Amino acid sequence: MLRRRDLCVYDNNLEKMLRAAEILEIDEIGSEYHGYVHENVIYRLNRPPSLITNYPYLVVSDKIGELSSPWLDIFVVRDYFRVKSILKKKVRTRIGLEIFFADIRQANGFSVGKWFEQVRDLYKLCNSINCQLVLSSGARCPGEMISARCFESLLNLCNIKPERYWRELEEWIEIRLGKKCYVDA
Amino acid sequence: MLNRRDKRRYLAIWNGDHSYDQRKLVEAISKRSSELFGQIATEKAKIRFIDIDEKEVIVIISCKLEMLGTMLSTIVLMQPPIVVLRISGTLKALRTRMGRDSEKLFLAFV
Repeated sequence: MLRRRDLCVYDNNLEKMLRAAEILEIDEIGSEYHGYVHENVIYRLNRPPSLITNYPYLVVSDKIGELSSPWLDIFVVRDYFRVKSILKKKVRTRIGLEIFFADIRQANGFSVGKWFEQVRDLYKLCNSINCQLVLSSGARCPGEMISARCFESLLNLCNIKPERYWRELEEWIEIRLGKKCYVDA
Repeated sequence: MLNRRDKRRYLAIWNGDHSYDQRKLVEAISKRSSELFGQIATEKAKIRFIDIDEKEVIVIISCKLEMLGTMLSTIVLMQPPIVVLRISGTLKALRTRMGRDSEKLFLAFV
């Protein structure tokens, strides 16, 4: 059974987000670390921790200057066309390139259409440079979260087969977390 | 005799913030759907308001099965946001599941 993941939700009340995720059939979420460790959460850090942690984490950045950093796991793509050429030249293989659905909620139809075309293009680029496309909700409260079924509709809209996406994401996370030094709580 | 009835799906939607007037929710979804997928796709989906729960936070709507993917994508791209909680082929099954999960729902979303 494939685990469905939304690797970026922002909320201080992680317990509430986890309850919402369970209802929405999302098995694991990614969130910022606020000092408490929860099950089914992968924490997002800006820098690799200096000490061994007791939680799984991914190092995330949206700064183009950090794209080639050896510790980077996920690069957040804010403006694809601006960074496309740099991505092709500088990106390290097997890192995740992340896009948020929250970014287009307020966009008009024209911009949403363009955005989906960018995601299709980014997916092709990810396949060619051996990177992992990561689609996340970017939700700031439970009311902004996306159910697994809705995620799959959006993936279809991006010409990505949902089953393949969840499987590749799972394999990629296993590899990324496998390289880290953390104590399983 | 051929069964000519449309296959439909029933969607339970969380509208806890009352961002949309209960009956205008369908109108708002249709409007966004037209903007994103066009008038033809929206009409084809035949979105209908079905019911609202006693606490007026969960709205049930229905749409044609063949346009379900389009509707779900539209709902995700709504602003203010709303959440699809459950999808079912029958209203009875949807209500049963929503009743069973009501406590969990309020703990997570309220």
